[in-house]
Amino acid sequence: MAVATSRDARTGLPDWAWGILVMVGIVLLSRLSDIASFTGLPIKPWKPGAGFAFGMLLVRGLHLLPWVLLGQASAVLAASLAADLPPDWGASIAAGFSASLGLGIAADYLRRRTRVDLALSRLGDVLRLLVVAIALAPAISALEVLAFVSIGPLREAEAQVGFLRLCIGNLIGMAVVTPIVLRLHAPGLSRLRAVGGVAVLEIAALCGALLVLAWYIFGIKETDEFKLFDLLFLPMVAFAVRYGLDGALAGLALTQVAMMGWLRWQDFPAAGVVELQTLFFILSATCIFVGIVVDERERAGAALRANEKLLREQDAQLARVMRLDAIGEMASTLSHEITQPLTAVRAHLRAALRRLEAGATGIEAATTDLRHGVTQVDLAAGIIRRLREFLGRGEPHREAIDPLALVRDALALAAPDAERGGVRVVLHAPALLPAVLADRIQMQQVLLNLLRNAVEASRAGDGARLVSVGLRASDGEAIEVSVHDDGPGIAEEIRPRLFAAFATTRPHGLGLGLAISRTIVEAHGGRIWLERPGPDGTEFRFTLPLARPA
Amino acid sequence: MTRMARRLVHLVDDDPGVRTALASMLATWDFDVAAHESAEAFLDALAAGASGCVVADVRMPGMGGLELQRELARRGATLPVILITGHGDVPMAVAAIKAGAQDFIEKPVDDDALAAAIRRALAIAEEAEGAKAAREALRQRHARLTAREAQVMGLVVAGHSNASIAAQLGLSQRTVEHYRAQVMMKMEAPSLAALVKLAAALGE
Repeated sequence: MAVATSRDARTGLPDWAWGILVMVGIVLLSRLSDIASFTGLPIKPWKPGAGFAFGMLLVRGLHLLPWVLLGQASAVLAASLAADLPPDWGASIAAGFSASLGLGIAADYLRRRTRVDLALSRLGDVLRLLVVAIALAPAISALEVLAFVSIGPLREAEAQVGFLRLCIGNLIGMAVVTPIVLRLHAPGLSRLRAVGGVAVLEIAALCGALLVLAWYIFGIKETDEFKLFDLLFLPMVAFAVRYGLDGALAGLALTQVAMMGWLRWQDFPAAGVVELQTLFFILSATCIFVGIVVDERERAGAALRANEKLLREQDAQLARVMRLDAIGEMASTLSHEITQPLTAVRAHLRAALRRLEAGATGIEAATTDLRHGVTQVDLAAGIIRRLREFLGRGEPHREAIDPLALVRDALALAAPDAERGGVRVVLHAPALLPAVLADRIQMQQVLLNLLRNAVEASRAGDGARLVSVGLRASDGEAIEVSVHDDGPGIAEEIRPRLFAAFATTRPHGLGLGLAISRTIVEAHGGRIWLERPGPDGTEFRFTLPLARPA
Repeated sequence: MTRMARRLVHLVDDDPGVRTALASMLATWDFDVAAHESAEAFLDALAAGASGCVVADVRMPGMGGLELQRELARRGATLPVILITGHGDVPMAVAAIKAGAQDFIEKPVDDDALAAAIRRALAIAEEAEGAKAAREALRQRHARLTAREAQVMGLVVAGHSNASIAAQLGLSQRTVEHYRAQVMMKMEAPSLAALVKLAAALGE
């Protein structure tokens, strides 16, 4: 026997432990599913053990094959023992050998020849598995029957019935139990394992419905099992639609157990069980397909949403970069424009000074220099005035805006920055606020600037990295917005000229943000101020007039 | 060299306010300023053998200060260039100095620094011009030699004795001595060593 000693990295179980698990699993499942069998032989229309063995061979590898053989043989022996019959060693080993040989060949084929994804993430994977199961079930059933007939106690006349029972039993085992084994082994949280809250209630309700239906269809002698079987499709399809493949598999397992329980309880004729199992196979295939299609759609939807989110983030980033670029460009132009007259003024002043120092003869030329200097100063003042007009952008486009939507938009734009810095941003606002009259883009600029400053300050501090944004109606005429951070606060010497241009403590800032913000807020008829300078929390506030004052 | 040429500054700036102001300021430092409103205008007005130095703005519409400097180098003009810039960053300064700029001054211009830079530039220009003039004079002296005299000078400088030269040229020794005296006189060389030095300078 090939007992490998390697260990599984995920579970830490050595191979022999997996082997024993497989063997015990096969015997237990075989005993639990003992229904409509020929006396003393595990020839029955419900063989979850075969499906379990097949699944384990697929996920753990062919080296489990000897354990499968042992398990299958032990199951036959156990069946004999349970029926108080003498153990038939030859038949047990022959049946175990033929079953494990068939399962081994099929598992090897699936693993090597087809590119089946054992997590069953695509429709094609499940199709392959089912096709192999449909081809495999008759083959191993025939081999097993052959073993029982040639070595064991089965009479030739019973071979055909036995074959049919085994066939449907193996088929359902591989259609339901094998996918369950594969899904349990698949990496990542399954959808069933990830559910919580309301979903638990829903699942409980669905399970309840299934159990009641199973009792109604199979548990009451008066009702016709075959006529009512289709009722099972309702809750089962609901399982598949709501919870995908995992839901479908769980529902199928539950239904199968309930159905078999009731059938056994009322000693249902074996031939009927075989027929019901055939119907059950159709139910299984349908629900599994529905489940996997739902899963695929869900994944496609999630991928699409992730893509959209990415695109939105990229858009926001692009907008930010462009804005920064525009500010940089403007700063560069501005510095050139201002430096020119400044250079001229300095040169004229120095020339005048030197001429006057040289004596009275230079007075006339010095006067000309000073006159030129004044002209240049006026020029510089004009440039600055034009700049202010540019920043104010003349008459902004004002409209009535929901202040909450405005703040939410800005929070969305600032979110990537905050996330990167590990800063949490919370919003405190009443659900309903009157509209304000504002230019949407300009107000975004103000909010985004305050938020970005707050996030950066929070990162720099050693607080909880929390930025809170507040919105409230103030005195019936305006909305007051506050942006609070737990950063280190604002240095004493900066405070007096906080809203002046180029007042910055940051190494890479231009110090234009608050200056521009003030220009915008004041152009809207609002006010912006520093409410708390820190160090125990910094808070900026500004007001925006209501669209319709109360 | 007149005093005026030594103190000539070519000021190139597109901004009339800055140009006027710098011209006025440089005048108080006793420089003679020739102001140009663009690099192109300056190049057009540039005469062969022009002297002085150039003070040019880096950022101008059309040809900027850096390109002007490259163009001057391409034309073989030896005028040193001082660049002025409003946003002097390190890479630009490095590029300017590598391209042969004499100096790099930031706006608003400190006139002490600019005047010092101009004086340095003019001194260098003058030195370069002096060396150029000396080489020209030497060439003229050499041009006065006859073909035979030049031939004899070449052999003398190469270290041949009179007898050897006479044998090589098929002349008498006396004739060679005569040519040799003529060479020493025309080249204004007081000694054989001086003549060798002059020949080396000519060969440059």
